[in-house]
Formats: sequence, C-alpha cells, structure tokens
Amino acid sequence: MHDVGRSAFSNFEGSTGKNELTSHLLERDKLMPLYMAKRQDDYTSTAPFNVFVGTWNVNGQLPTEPLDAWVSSEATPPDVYAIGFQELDLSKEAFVFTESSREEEWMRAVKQALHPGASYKLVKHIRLVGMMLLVFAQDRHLQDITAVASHHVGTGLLGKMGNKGGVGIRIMLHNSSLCFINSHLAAHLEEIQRRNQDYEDICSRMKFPDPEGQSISVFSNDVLIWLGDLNYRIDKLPLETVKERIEKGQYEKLKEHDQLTNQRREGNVYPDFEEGDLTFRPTYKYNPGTDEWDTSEKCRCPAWCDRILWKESAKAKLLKYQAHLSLKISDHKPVSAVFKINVKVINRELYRKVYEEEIRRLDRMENEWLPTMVLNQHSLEFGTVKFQQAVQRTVEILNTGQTPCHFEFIGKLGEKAFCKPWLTVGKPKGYVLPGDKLVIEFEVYVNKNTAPSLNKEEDKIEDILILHLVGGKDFFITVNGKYSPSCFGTSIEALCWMKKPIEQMDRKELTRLVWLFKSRDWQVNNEKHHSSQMLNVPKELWRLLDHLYQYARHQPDLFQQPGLHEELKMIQENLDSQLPTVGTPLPGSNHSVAEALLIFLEALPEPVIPFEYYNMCLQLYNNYDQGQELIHKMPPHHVNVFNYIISFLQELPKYEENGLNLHLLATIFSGLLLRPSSVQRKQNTEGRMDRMKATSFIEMFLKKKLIE
Amino acid sequence: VAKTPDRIFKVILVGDSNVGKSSAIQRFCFNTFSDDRRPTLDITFQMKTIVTAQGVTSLQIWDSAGQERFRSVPRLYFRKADGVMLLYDVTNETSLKNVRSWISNIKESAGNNAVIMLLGNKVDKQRTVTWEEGHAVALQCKAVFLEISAKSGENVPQAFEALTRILKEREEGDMGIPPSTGTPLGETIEVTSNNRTERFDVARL
Repeated sequence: MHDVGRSAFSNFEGSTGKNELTSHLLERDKLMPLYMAKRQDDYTSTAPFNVFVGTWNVNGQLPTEPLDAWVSSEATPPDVYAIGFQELDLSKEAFVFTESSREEEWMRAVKQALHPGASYKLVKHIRLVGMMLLVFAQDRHLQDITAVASHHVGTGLLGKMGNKGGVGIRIMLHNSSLCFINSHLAAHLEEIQRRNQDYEDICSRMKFPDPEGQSISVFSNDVLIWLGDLNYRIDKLPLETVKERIEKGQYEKLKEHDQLTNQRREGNVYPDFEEGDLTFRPTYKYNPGTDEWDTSEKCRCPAWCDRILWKESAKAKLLKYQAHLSLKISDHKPVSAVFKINVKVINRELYRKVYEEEIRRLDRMENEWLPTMVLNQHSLEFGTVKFQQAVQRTVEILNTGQTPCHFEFIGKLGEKAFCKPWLTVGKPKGYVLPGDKLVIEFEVYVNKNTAPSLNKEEDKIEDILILHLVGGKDFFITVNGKYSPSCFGTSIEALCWMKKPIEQMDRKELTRLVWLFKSRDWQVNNEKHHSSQMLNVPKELWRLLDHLYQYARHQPDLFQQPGLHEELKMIQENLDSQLPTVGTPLPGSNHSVAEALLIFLEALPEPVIPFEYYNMCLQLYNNYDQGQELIHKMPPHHVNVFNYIISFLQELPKYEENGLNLHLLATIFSGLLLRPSSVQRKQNTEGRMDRMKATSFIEMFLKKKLIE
Repeated sequence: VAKTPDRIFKVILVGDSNVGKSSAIQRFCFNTFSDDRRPTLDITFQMKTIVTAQGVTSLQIWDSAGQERFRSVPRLYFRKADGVMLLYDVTNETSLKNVRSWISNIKESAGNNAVIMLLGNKVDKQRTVTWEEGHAVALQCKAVFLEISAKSGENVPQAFEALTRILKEREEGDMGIPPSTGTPLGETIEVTSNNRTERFDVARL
C-alpha cells in the first residue's frame, strides 16, 4: 500500500494547480511511529519472558549424542531459544561453499532437544561458515514476533573471511527488540587485541534492516545478548596452578587471570555489558569424549572461552549461567544462560486508543499550523465609477496563524487573469509574517480599452477575486461598483443619437443603442434613414471644439501642454451631464479642454476613421483624390466628424500665438483619427513607417482644403 | 495494529447558502455546534483522520461558500475532489430543488469520477421535505443518500465514514486490489439511516 500512497500524493494538486503539498502531510507515516514510540508506556505493559541462550564450539564434530542435557536443562520450557554454534564445520570446503550438511544435522539435533513442555518453531537461522545461530520460539508467541532480521560479519582474512566473526538475529517480540549475536573471536592466548578488534568490527558492521528501510545497529535494541566462543584465555598463571584452583573450585581467584574479565574492567571490550558469575569449570580444552583436560602436544591451558554477556540489566535478569559438562563430543563444553526478559506487550485496545489520540493530535496540529488570515472586509464597494477616474479601496489582511502566510490571487476555472482588466491589485502576491498586517490596494480604472464593453453592459463592475493562501484556505473578495456611462468611450453614432446628456439617458435605452450601432448592418441599411433624427456630430465633440475655437485659439503651446486631472474630471462630468448652452464655456483651463478632446478621440471604440479603412488609408497616404473617395465611403457620421475636425484644425495655424502648424497638428491627431486596432497593430510590423504614412495621410487633407 | 494513512481524500461540501455545510464539518471535526454561524465567504479546509476497521484514512474536508454570488467559484475545487457532499436543508424545499443544478455544476467541472453524496440536513427541525423526496432525487442523481443533523450530530460521522468507505473501496478496485470489505466495485454499498438500510450504487457518476 505504500506505493499506492505515493502515487496518490503525486496527483495531489493545490488550488493553483501546482504540486502544492499541504504542510507535512507526507511526513505522517514517518512521524507516527515516533509519536507512538513516545507514548509506548501508555499502551504497553511488561510481561516476563523466559529466554534460553546457549553456545557451543563443537569442534567440527557431528551431533552423535543428544543435546537434551544442555538444551532442555530447565524445568520450565523457555519462551524463546537462541542457540549458537562455532566450528560447526572445519572442512576446507566450508570456507568456500555456503552449503553445509552439518547445518541440517545440528539443527535437527537442537530441534529434537527443545523442551518437551512446549511446541516450538524456528523463527530464524543464520550461518557463516562454522558459526550458526538459531532462534526458536513457542508457537503461541509467533504472532507477536515481527521485524525478524539477520546479518553476518566476517572478521577473518581481509576482514571478510567467515572463519571468524559473528552472526546476528534481531526480532521484535511484542514491542521489545531483542538482538542475539553469536561470535567466534580470534584464537590464541596472546591475541587479546585481535579479539577486542573483532568485537569492535562486529559492533560497527552488524546492521539489521527494519521494515522502514533503515538499518539498526546492535545497540539500538532493548536487549542485546552476546554469546559465543570469545576465545579469551587465562593467562599469567602456571598451568598446574590453574588446574589446582579449578579442582579446589577457586573460580573467583582464577577469574583474576581471565583476560575477558580484565579487558572489560579496563574498558577495552564489551563496555556496559553484564556477565553472570563464573561458577563453572572452564569450558576449554578437553580431550574429546572425556572430562579430562587437554593432553595433546600443545597442552592448552584451561580457559573460559565460551561466554554469554548482555545488556541492559534493567530489562533482562539472569537466572542461571552454567556449563554442561556431560556433553563430551567436542573439546569445548556447551554453556547456557537463562534470562527473564521484561518484554513490552502491546495492549491492542489501548494501542488503538493512543493511536487515535495521536492521529487526532496530528490533525489538530496540522489544522493549527495551516496558514490563516483575517480580512477586514470581504467585499469592495467602488460606488460610481467613471471613465478614466481611478477609484481606490483597500483590504487589510492580518496573519492570525502561526506560520508565515504566502498569499496569491488566483484565477477562476478557465480564466487566465485573476481579475477583470479594469481592476488592478497593488500586491497580487506576497508574504505576511504571523501577527503582521498588510494593506492591499485595489484600483478600478476604466480606460478606452475597457469602457466599450462596460458601456454596452457586456461587462459590469463586478468581480470575485480569489485570494489563495498557499497550503491553506482561499478567500473570496467581491468587487462591486456602478459604471456611469460617459461620452468618453461611447461610439460616434450612439452619441449622435442622444439628444440628452448621456447621464440622463435611460440605461436600457443606452445599452440598446450601443449594441444597435455596433451592428454593421444597421449602419448600412438604416443609418441614412434615421439620420434625420440624429445629430450631425456628437454634441460633446461640438462643445469641445467650439470651446477651443472660441477661447483657446490664441493659447500658446495649445495641444502641447498637459491638462490638470481635476479639471479633466470636471470637463468630463460637465459633458456627461449638461446640455450645451450658448455662451457657457466648459470648466477648466484651455490645456485641460485641449487634452479632453484628445482623450475623447482616443476613447472612441471605433476611431474617426474606422479600423477597416486603416490599411487602405495608409496605402493612399500620397493620393488625395482616392483618399477623399475612400473617406466618403465611411459611415456618414464618421465622415461628418472627420470633416469637422479637419476644418477645425485647419483654422488653428492662423493664430500665431499658439505655435501650431499643420505638420505638428497632423502628427498629434493622426494617431487619434487614424489608428490601428490592437489586432492590426500586431499584424503590421512596420510600425514606424505606418505612423509616418498615417501622419502624411492626415496632413494631406489638412493642406488640401487649405489650398482649395 | 493500525497503519498510518495511505491516502488523503479530498472531500468538498457544497449546497445552497445556509443548509449547514460549515456546521456539518464543525460537528464532524470538533463535535461542536453553534447556532449563530455567519455565512462562509471563503473556501477553507480541515484535516480529519478516520480510524476504521479497514484502516486509517485522512480526509481533507473543504468547506465552500454557498451564496448565489459565489456559485461559479466552487467549480475550481470540484476538479480536484475525490468526493462531493451535496447538502440541502430538509426545512427548505428550494434547497432540494437546487440540488439538480448543483449536480450538473459538479459533473460539468469535475467531469470525472468524484463520488457524490446527497445529505439532507436539519432533521432535528420541523421538516417540509420528506425522506422519500430526498431519496428520489438521490436515486436520479445516482448519489448516496443520508439524512443528518449537524445540530444533534445524528448520522454525521456515519456520512463521512460511508463516503470514506466508498472512496477506499473504489480506489482499491482501481488498483486491482480486491476490496477489503468484500463489497465488489461498481456494485452496492449499504448505508443505514433512520433504521432504514439502503443499498446504493457505487458506480461512477
């Protein structure tokens, strides 16, 4: 199921469509074991388990005598057995071949000797050349044994050969880990250092894989039991004295010369291990088949070569430590130790309860750590919005969570932009630290690009913004406002139809008009028919030009100085709300009125020379007759406006103070009267040349009429 | 011994305004209820892990704004949902009527295999929509049906557990793994409510 989890996660997308993993969800399977380990005491109780540990160097012999006297020496049947052998097979082949018939024979011998008071099964066995370790457990415990693993470490020649070294088995018994190491360390009296080194090597190289895929060292276990032919000898004492002390049972005194005891006391090997009292005869070296000490040529000094050590004493208590002298086939005697190990037993009901508690805590933690913010308002009311008049609102966001917030405005399904084109957001993405505030500015600004669809009510000042917290919730911010239609951004035809100021028009009628005049058919078929009911040119345009002619024709730098924003706003409002009255000038300075004219022309959804004539006009930039012909093919009101503006502009250079000449006027107005649509602009690559042609085209008209 | 969650399912609650989506989540996640909930103006989620006999499942439960003006927005979230809980109010007939438009909204945008569950909330109150009416709509929409009360807590955990079970079984079916509870994929699942045991199609919508 692990792979299933992974693949599921890889499809797990955040709201932005990126692979946005929320908090540390992925880590749960890693975290839960740690949290559960911490709570272990809450769902486990300890139960004593009887563990029998045996070790025997069998000197390459076959099991020709029964092992009961060693393996079944206890009255009560042990719960778990760990039996280790050394020198199982001394043949040369055993170094090379991994198969060994001795393995089977000895295993069978052990099985036959297991305590008759219970039924056992082999949990695991491992062999490295002559070293074999077998772990058995009573049938009733098998279901509680998990994570069984084994490993071997050779410390022979090249640090690899398996004639010396160790084999290990690790099991989880209920919730306690038990580790058994069976080792055969370097031989010979003087090789203390090598034995110590073998121990170090086994410790550092013995690793058990656990189900999580990590490797566990021998020391990361509740109980570690080390058995084997450790080969430490009795030294600095004459052979006869050794034998004499043994005969007198003076093991305590003899122990003073035991290398292992001394090395341990000096801290050179097996630090922090425990060993039981040596109250038995040394287990090496006997004449095979007897209880007599070695009488061979070498005449080895007796030694406690075969030992069992363990840690920790808090979790394992030694009940018995002894040698079994009645077994005679080897030159070693087998040794056994019986432990009472306090095993942590899981109470399934409690485990489940604690598990649920912990997982709830993780849920809670995760929920608490989700990024979260508070907004001082969720809806933005922009009120009445007018053409090119920016309205600002703000939202204050406060990070009330415990983690930094990474916020970002995101688009709705199928929409590329996260907001309408007339809205800009001051900070579309960013970070807020816990406890900090941030003010986000929103500005609605309707320009010539966005005005037409608002005029048509194709679009409204309405939007829902999604403020997304990365890894957290999404807020909705609603945007509302009322677009007040303006003559700016309204078509020439619609304006010619309106006898009233645009603000006094019925909204529905207005929308109908805007849609109506958009249709080409209407222009072709009905415009002439209706033109008697329509104004010749938009009254707003008339007011602007009339004002300029009357009051501004002597104005120095006319059309070359920008207007004032406030005045532009007043002019726009005046045009949108007032009917022209004779003798009442527009508000604002001459420069402002001049700029208002430019803005008016720029905002026309269809310019004075409609887009479809643009390319043709450019081609006729030096051909007045055909140009004139083309202009007269335009819709009548466009023709009117064109002629009206041209004749107005022609008047201006007559007044020297304003500093205007025809070329300058053509340059200023050609970009407004004769301009490409956005599509055309993209198609025409020679922008600079096109602009020059457009200027020439307009200038040609300005000049021509003058000459006539 | 329980396992750690092998899957996180995304579940989104939708339905008209004031049918009790946030309350149902509050009841399920925190086992509390408050009468004066303000309308939800955002999309939020909560993590909740369910431990059942089948294993451990984490749910990422998304709450959504139900107001009309936000109607278009949850579509963004349907796409990623494994399960959709569509709520109506048993004291409000309109909320049941609107279920159909929610369903088409879900199918349009999810267009996939999200499991849909129809939940009639507020059974603690005087109802104007009968169990049969809700059930009929659920059958038409091939949705699993339950009546719940976020206030009393009745059937709330059962609803989430049933949905989880369906999602789990369906996923195991997808993986070619025999469903753990013995309910074959694409067949039926039993949901008990008001002492009635219903068997539902778990076929894809």
